[in-house]
Amino acid sequence: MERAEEFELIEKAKSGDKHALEKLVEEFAPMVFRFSFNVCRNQEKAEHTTQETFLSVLKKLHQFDNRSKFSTWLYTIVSNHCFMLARKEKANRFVSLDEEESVMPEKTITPWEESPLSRVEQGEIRRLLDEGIERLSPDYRIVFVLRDIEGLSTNEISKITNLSVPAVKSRLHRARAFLRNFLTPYFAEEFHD
Amino acid sequence: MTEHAHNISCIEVWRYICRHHGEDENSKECQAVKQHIAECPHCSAYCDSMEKMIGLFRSNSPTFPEQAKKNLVDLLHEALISTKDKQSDETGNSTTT
Repeated sequence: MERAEEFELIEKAKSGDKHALEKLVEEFAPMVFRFSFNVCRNQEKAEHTTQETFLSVLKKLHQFDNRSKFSTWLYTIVSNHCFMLARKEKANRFVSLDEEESVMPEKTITPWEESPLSRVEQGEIRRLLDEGIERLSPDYRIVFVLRDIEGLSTNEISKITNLSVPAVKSRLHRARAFLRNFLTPYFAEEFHD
Repeated sequence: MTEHAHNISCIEVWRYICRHHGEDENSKECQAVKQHIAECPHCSAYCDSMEKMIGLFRSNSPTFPEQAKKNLVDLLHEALISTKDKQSDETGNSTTT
C-alpha cells in the first residue's frame, strides 16, 4: 500500500469510518498475526494478541501522527502485547545467552542438509521451531522475529524495541547462534548418515 | 578453526555473520568477511546453516485464518459502536448540564 493511500485510510479510520478500519484489518492483521504467532508459537495466543493489538489501535489511533510508518507503530504495539503475555510464562524455561560460550558453535562445523525440509516431517519441524523459540526469552525472540522473519532493518527494530542499535545486533547475534545450534542436531548431514 | 584469509579468525567471522547477516554488505569489514567465507569451509558451512535456519522459520509462518479475521472485524465493530455511544452520551450530558 502506498504511503498516501495509507495516510488517507488512517485519517478516515480516525473519524470512525467502519470501512476504513476494515481495510486496515485486511491490510495489516495478517502481518500482526504472523509476528505474534512467531513470537508466542501458539495460534490461540496469536489470535488473542492480534485482537488486543487492534483494540489498542482503535483507542490510540488519534495519537498516531504519520511520522513513522503505520506498520512500525503496529509492531511497537504488538511487541508490547507479546511482552505482557510472555511475562506470565515461567522465566526459568528460558536459556541464558549472557555468556559467549552459550552461543558458540560446535568445534568442527557440521554442514546442514541440502534441503532441511526433505528428511524431517512437517509436524516435527514445527515442533522443533516451537521448542527453539520458546527457549529464548521474549526480548531475544522479538528481535529475531522482527529481523529475520519480518525483514525489518536494525534501525527500525531499535525504534520499535527502544534498544540501541548495538543492543539489537547483540541480541540478534545470540538468538541466531542459539537457534542455529539448537537445530543443528536435527538438520545436519552427519546426524542422518 | 582457522585463521587464514585477511587475518580474521573463524570466531570473529561467526560473530559477524550473526550480527550483520543481510546488512551492510559493502563495508570494508564485510568484504574481508566475504573473502574469508569464500576460502574457509567451516565458515561457509556455518553461513549456509544460518541461512537455512532462517529459511525454516520463514517458510513455517502461518497465514491469518479467515475465521480469526471475521472475529476481529466483529470485535472492532462492537468496540467502535460502544465508543460512539459513549461519545454521544458524554455530548448529551454536557449539553444538558
